[in-house]
Amino acid sequence: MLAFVVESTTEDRLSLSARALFELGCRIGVTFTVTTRVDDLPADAVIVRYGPALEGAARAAVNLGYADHGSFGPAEAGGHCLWARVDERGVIDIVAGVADLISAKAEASVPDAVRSPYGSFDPEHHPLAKHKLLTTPLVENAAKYVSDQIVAAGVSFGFRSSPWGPGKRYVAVVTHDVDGPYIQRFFALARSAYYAARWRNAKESEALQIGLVTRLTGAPDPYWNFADWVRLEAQYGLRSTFYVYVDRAGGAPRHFNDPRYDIRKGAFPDTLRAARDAGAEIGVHYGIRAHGTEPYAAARDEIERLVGKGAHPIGGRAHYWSIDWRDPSRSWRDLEAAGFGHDASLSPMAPGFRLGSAQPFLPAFGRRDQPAEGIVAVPTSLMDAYVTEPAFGRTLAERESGMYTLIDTVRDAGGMVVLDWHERTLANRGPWRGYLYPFLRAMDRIVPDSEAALMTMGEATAAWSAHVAQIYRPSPAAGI
Amino acid sequence: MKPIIVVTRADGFYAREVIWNLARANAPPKLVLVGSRAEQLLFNLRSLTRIAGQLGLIEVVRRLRRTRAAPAPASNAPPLADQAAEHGFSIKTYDCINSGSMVVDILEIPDAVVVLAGCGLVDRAVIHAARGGCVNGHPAILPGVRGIDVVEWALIEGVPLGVTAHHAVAKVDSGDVILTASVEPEPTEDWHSYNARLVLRQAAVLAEAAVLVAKGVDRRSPNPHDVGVLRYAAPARVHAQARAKFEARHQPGSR
Repeated sequence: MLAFVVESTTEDRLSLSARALFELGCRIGVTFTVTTRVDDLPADAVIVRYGPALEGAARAAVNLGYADHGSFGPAEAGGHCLWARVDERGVIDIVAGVADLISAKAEASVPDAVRSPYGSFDPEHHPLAKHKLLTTPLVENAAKYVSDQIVAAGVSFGFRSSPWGPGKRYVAVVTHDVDGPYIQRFFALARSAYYAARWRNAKESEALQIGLVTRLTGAPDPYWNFADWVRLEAQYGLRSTFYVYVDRAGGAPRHFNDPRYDIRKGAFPDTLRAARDAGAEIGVHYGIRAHGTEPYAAARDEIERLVGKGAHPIGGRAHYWSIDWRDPSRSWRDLEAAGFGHDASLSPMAPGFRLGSAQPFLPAFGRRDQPAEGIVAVPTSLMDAYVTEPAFGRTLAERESGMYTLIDTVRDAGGMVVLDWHERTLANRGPWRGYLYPFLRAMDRIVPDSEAALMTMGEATAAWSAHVAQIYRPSPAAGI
Repeated sequence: MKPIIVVTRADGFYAREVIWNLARANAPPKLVLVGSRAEQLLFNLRSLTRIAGQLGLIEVVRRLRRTRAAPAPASNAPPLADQAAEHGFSIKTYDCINSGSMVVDILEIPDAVVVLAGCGLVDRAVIHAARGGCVNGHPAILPGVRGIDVVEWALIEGVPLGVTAHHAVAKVDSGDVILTASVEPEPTEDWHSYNARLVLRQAAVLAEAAVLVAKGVDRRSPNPHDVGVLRYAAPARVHAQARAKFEARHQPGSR
């Protein structure tokens, strides 16, 4: 068994360090524990020690660098690109670096002036983007670094648990936020008309034409694509997860930018049930102002009332990624209390990993004996617009190449490629013109890869939880 | 042989001819995707909006008049429903060209060759979904005059007249050429008869090329994007000049 022994100067740092070591242990993939007490460990435990004190150093197979002071930033060690605290002596503290990332404290330097009311900010302000590290799996790199240190100390790991199943290195999960499944509705037409007139936007003008003409001729709404997504995904042998908005869940107020539909009405209940019957999962797309245990629970109840309970606990993703950016763990605590199994709201609003990880987190560490029983926080690394919309002068070929590089990065890191293609983008017309092609290209990369597992979000997060439950041994040590 | 899917905006002369030629070559399509009333309206709206943007509203009116004045070409090919009954293919309608629904229809027939029989511009997703290849017909010799109103532009430029079948790529009329055929006017032919014969020949060449692609025996010749010229909608003035040039060169007794 691998034993991370953590000692620290302050209770706050102890708790953060333990959580960082826990996430590293999940990624190394062998049986492990995190403790403050060396004495309680079995004699054959391989000790990886982290802390300022000298006690126990001799018994440790690996002593991880500990820095009391210093600044956080990129560091290179053992051939790995890492995020670490480096002190004046040159000590590289990767545990502090991982803690800095997964607690979102690395983003604390982003000024309020560039943040939205819930704390989000454009990717150019992200500290990782400033170092061109937004697409680097820094937490997984840190786990590899620790793993290398252990092997260098003469320890042989033997069997390592693979979360994604035998022979699978990584998992791909396709998801669809359902923001606006109608173009024939008055509000959608009016909005397109406004954008077309105000900004001379040709794509919105096309949306207006399509909405009006299909409505007048009695054709189905081109933005209502649930069944076609299911058909398309069947061609690739995968099933996806739809996140739908529950209007005024638990009396939560609406935000102007929240979706404008009611899943209780019209074709929604039957459509969602049909998607569920075809193997898709239905989750919650929380409104921008619909955060807190009560709205989350009400939304969950509403969906379960309409489509029934799924095989896995319900999950969700925030509209506009609007979880609490300053303290995501607060949102996850509320979601967990409301019975949610996962949250996929981690995105830096660009391709990449907001908290430096391609693999999921288990924020319940420290709150539950077995963190795997709590909510799973999932990074969403690829969204439709990130690849489709021209950004920073990049051509389509360059964006596509970037997408492939990111998929390969996740593959190497053993992580989750989470794709978020909005439900309406399958229309592939109007503002969503060109959105389908990058999706097909992503499928070309992932589906033929025999080392890629294809799962729904519920399946993937359950697999991660099972992996951690299998290898993590809770410690009774106080303070963790 | 790979299955064939034909995509057409409407059950019109050109699509009927393409399918009829495919059937005569013992290669009837497995599926025909036909634009619905909504798509036909949207297609016309797109065309007219584009012309209005490029040439102005007056040219739109002139084009509408010209289109109405042109006689409908005579065809022996039966309507699509009759051909479907005879050859056992399915017909599905689509409401928007390039929509995901259409792409799924294509993907559901593995390794299909998609034949574009007058459906307007298709995007990368449709071309990508056509795993067996995507073939288009063009009423001019390629490499050469690309774009629209190409017969008129070719006459003005004095280049040989004819038709081409080529692989579709994401750039207009730029994929590798599969077949070309010269279609020069005959001495007794008037403008409308010539255009009708050109379209018939285009349909035949497109079908022939599609069969070659479906059998995997097509030969490709390059069609570089930088060779030739991309032409946009011709104004009435160019139409008149082209027609005058045609009549001066090809009308009986004019030589």
